[in-house]
Amino acid sequence: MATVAYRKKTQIFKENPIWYKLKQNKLTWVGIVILSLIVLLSLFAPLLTPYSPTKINIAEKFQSPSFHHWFGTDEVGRDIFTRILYGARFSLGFGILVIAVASFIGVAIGTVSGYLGGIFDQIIMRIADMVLAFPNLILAMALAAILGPNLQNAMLAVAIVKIPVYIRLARSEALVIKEKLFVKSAETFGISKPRIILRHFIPNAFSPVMIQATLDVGDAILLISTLGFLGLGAQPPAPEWGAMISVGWQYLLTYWWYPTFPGLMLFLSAGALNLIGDGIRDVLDPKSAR
Amino acid sequence: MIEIKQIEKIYVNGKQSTKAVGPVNLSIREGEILGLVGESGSGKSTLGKMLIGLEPPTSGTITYKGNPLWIKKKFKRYRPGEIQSVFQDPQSSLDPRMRIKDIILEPLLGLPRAERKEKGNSERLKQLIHRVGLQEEHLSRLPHEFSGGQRQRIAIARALVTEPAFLVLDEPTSAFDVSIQAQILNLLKELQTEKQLTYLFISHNMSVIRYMCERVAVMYKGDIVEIGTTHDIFENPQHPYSKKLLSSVLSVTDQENGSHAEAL
Amino acid sequence: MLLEVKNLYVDFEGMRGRTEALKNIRFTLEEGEILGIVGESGSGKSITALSILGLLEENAIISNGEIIYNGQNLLHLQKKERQKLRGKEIGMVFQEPMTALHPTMKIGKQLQNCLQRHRNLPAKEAKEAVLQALRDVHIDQPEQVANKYPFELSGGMRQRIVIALAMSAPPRLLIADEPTTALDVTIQYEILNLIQELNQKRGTSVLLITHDLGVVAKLCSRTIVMYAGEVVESGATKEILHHPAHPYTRSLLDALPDSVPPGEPLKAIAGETPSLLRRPSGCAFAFRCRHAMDICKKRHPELTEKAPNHHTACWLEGTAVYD
Repeated sequence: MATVAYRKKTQIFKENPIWYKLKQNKLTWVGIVILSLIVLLSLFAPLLTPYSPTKINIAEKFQSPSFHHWFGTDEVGRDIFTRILYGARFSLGFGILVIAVASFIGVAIGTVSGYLGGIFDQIIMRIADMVLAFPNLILAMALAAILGPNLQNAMLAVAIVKIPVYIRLARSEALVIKEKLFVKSAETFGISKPRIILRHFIPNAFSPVMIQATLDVGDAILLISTLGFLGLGAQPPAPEWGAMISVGWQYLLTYWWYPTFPGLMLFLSAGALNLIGDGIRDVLDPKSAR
Repeated sequence: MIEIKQIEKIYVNGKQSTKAVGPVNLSIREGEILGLVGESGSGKSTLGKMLIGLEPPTSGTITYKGNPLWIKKKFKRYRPGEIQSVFQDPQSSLDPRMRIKDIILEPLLGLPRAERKEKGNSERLKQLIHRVGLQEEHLSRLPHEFSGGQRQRIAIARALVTEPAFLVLDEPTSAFDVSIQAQILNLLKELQTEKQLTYLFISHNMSVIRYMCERVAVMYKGDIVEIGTTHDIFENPQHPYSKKLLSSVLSVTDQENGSHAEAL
Repeated sequence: MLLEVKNLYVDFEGMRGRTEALKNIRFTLEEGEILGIVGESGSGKSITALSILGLLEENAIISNGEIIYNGQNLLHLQKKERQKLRGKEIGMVFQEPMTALHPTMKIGKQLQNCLQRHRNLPAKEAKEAVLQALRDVHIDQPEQVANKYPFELSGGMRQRIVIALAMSAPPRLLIADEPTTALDVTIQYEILNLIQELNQKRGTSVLLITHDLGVVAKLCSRTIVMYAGEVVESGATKEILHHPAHPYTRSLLDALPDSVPPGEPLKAIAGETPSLLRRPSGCAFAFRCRHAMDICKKRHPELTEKAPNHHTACWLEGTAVYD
């Protein structure tokens, strides 16, 4: 019984057109592999390194990459490899958190706005347009500066900057879904609008939001790190990659390993997320059965 | 059962106004299958939508069993679930992300709690799914796993779950091949007799209308130009448009003199 | 014989395996006739048209067969040569006119481009030819229509223009795939009359593909019936409709709402079209057939001549199916 059910389930999984197309996209797999590695590294950080990310050890400062310190040490003797691993937790974790919050709020507002329409919709769209008119970084910088330079405020700033993207996305999805027969049918059944939104709009808008979110996590990581680099985000001694570069860039020519490795990690994470997002987008859009 | 009096639907777009329907007067008797036939732009679908709450009429009244369906552009459900509908396209009338079981039970969410429990129990659901020609195991699947004909059966099951008295069927078989069409029409006819339903059957297909309906109303550009028994309309059409419509029908057997097909 | 399709096999390589979309398709089309291909969805009728036109998708594999047009096997031609044939010798009309019309170009210009290309006309003559082409498809006020964009016109008008475009060369063969399915009944009647007129007056041969038996009854002198990617019956239309030799054709006719008096249940065909991934052995219609015998499920019936010029792929003896 169970084996029959299992075989049926895997058959459906294998026959899923999304899986089939995803399998064929090599670059996406590169992205997935890189990202998985980074995630694993960040999760198992304490096991992978004997050093502490914050403990100072002046005697070992500015050591070049060696067997003891794979990525070398910084100006107060902390092992850079360790700091990068712990920094991965920061960047990935907070990147995901920020986008999760931004997408949640944005989708909620956008869906309601698109479905209900009217003046409410017009006002929301104007506000979203205004925010989107600013380049991401400039606006995030301004917000972070106003709120005060620390990691939480940097995250808040990035979230605020990203919310209108999801408002627009959810709204345009809602406009399409609104006209679908299954929504019209649900309206004829006498089901309340909030219920219709939850039952029909959200599940059907899921895919484009996922694509956008995956791409945005990479962007969020870069933004938070840039703010960190500019001194508007995570403050030293936090092992955040951007903050590390903010201190380390001056040593680029002398102790090259200091800014290089954090920079490399930023590049790899953001790049991997972009590849994955692109891959998902190629598969889900145009869709086979929407 | 249903009285439509002086119903009009006018769409206003900026300075332009387009008349979609009206003024239309129509009575639908309890237990009958009334056909509404017309081509695109005739207003037949709009009229159907006004009966199920999707389009508010611009003026006029529609009463269901004596009660007005529309009060100030709001649709009133005196006995929720008594009026249901089946549409043309089973592809988009079923939410692709919902399981069949949930799709069929969805109309119950518009009913008061007590009725919901009574009508939604698994025994009745089983009966319903069998009645439309599907299996219990289909209940946990998704719409894309089914063929078009099966999806329409699911849509019909969904329309029946609240035990309606009146069904608006808007081109329920137009998207299908002849063989599937025959299956669906048979099902609809059986259900009508079994459950003593009243149908408003909207279609552009004359042979289907002729087979299904006892009375027919012909619509052209928003107005009912002719109404009568199926026999009268088909044998002796009066209005020039009805005549034109009937003469355009291509029958398989008799092409030369355009007379009606005989059983082979 | 203008067109002959011989033993055509077309497969598609997809995610679930290999689908045998067309199996051993055989038919001929004589010059000047209107041949109908009738079948339900999934029967392969559109794929047949696309094979002739050379418009199959990338993952299509023509594993066997010949398509001989005017003595030449089209399958041996290069892509460019085939492209030249399309439009010049073989015109095409599909179900949705908007797929053939440029949405932001005026009708007159589109027709002019086409006419100039196919007939090598200087600009001045071309303009007059445009108006004549529009008149030929019974469009009143051609000057006004030529000045409009496709979205300003009704479905019927658009399809007339597509027909005018298809006829601009003029081609020897017109392939029309469900040309009136998307149109209103009264418009359908007019468009079919137009096709008939083009065939009678200009001698254009027509391959008309449809699911509607009424359409073939009206227009086609000969018809082939397709089911599950195979030809199951072919012959004179009148013969096929009045004395169908294949049970599928018989049941198609029986399923029409006109074939029973109102009140009686329709004779629906039980079941659905088989999946082309896992073809049943033997006859593809056997499991739905009222007359199925043992042999039907085991061995595949080939198209044989049961009566003069009336072919059927069925194990039943005799030339007509009765209940």
